Amino acid sequence: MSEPINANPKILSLEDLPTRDAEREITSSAGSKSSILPSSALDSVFPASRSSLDEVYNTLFMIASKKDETEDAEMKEAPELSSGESDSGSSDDDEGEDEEPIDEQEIYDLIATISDPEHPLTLGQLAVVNKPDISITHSSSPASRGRRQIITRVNVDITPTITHCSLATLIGLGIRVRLERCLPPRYRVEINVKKGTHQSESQVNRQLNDKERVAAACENQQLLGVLSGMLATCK
Amino acid sequence: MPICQVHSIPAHTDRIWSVVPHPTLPLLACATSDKSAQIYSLNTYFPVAQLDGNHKRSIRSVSWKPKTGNSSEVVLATASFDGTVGIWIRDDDRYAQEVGSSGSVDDGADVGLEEWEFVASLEGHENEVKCVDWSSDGAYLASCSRDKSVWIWEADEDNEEFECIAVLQDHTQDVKYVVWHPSEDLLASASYDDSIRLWREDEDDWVCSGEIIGHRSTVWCIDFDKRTPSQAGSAARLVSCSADETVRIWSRVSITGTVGSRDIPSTFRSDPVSENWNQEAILPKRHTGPIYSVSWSARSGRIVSAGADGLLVVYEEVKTGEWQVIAEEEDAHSVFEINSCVWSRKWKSTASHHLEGESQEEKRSIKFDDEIIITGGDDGNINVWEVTSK
Repeated sequence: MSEPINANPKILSLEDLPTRDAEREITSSAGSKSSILPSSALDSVFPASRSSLDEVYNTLFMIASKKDETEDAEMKEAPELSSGESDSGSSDDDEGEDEEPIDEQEIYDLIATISDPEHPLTLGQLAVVNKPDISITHSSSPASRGRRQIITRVNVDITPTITHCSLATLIGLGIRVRLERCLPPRYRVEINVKKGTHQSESQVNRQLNDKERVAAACENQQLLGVLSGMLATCK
Repeated sequence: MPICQVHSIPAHTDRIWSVVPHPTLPLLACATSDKSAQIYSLNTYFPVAQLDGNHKRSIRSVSWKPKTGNSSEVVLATASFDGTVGIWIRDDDRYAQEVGSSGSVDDGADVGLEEWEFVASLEGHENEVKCVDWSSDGAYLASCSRDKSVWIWEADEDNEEFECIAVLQDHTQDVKYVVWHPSEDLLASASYDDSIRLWREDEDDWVCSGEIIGHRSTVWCIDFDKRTPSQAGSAARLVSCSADETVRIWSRVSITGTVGSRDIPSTFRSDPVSENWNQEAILPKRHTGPIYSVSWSARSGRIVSAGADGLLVVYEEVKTGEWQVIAEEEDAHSVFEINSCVWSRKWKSTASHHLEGESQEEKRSIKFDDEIIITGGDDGNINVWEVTSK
């Protein structure tokens, strides 16, 4: 990593990055031609202020920490003999139902601030992560109607800075780790390299979505060190 | 048919990778991401042992050594992301026989922790070991890894010295799963290269005797049909599940150059060992997302599959090659993914929680060969299921 593979990446200025902040949105759409968002229509549909976003974050983290506590408590007790459909994990998720659904901007905010492993810039600034390439699908099959907890799919397509970027897998892994740590368990994350942007697209895609490989990679201390460096700029 | 959950063990705080019942004892082993394996009683569902302290990373897979002859030893193999296979033996001197002997003890008696001894660490794989499996006679242990190889090990009588007798390197990608045929010395392996390979001994060498191609993505798990009599000609069947969202049945159509020809000097033999397998059926599609686990019941001949979508599906064969879904359960581990599903014999008190309030006579009348499905998921729970006729 001493010599950057892509020494001259395209860099977006901070003002050009998609945000929910109304004021900044105005200045950016007025003052830049290279905005990666075609319009701010999406943002006006969800006119949330920065403070409410923070609230959502807080809720997310509170849920995460509370879940740990519940599980710790469960571990201290001997396993109960239960019959029927008892489900110890469901209480957290019930509370989660009342939350506002997470939208593309929130996913973007979670991952755009990850640092690139070879540049002192974020994935948002390098346009590796772009808001139009994030999609959220709520399960809508007839069979799942009436289910209390619906699985939500988050698809993120990443655009490597160059087509032979050997760090694409690492970047994708960083995004996956970030999302899996932040999102509730009913979210299924799928990370792919955007079509036509990498020469070994299918290989990278398969590795990024192989649960076992991802799990094993996350136990590699060296890799974890690099990942935590990348994620250090997130909070 | 309805499928109902008869029990749930909040076993763990993190992912459960694999659940495996002992072939003849009421014991369940479970592989977890915290570098340990746990053993539960299938009579009471209480934990009886925790095997930890030796693996440096997640345990991905566990396999019980089948009991052979009059040996009373209870042996478990563990495969870890740390690249090693661990061998553990229950210390029966210290904790004599209480859970064993076909479940003939009181329910409460096997509560408590057994002593297990870590007796061997099998090193050789370059990186993560993904699966281990003992052959049905306990003679061989197979392991597979991300290093694309399958290893076959032979143990000495004390299970302390293991000799690697074959390193099989025909797969071009990670090998995800290995399983032995229930009666033949035939090993099958499933891989990230989308293929399934078959391995057997040809003279003194283990060779690839067949390749099954058809899945369009990683083959996560495979299991043999344990009811097709292997004496009857070439018949053998295999079920596989894949990230391509299908479950498929394969059957052997021919086999040449093997079995029974051991005495003939090799110069007279022209045929290398070789077998052909064809796709017999694709099971009705239910899953959306990778299917991580499949199990073929030795008792009922039913198949169960589960995966990332949290759906548990039970299939039954209507006639050869024609299957129907007889039961399915959504969100079998709430919103979490299911990593492992397996059929098991129902032990005597498995049903008692479910049938609380019924008389002793009724409890005793529960059929010996009734079966349960055991699942393990990312939520850290082990769930137990029964398919009921109504």
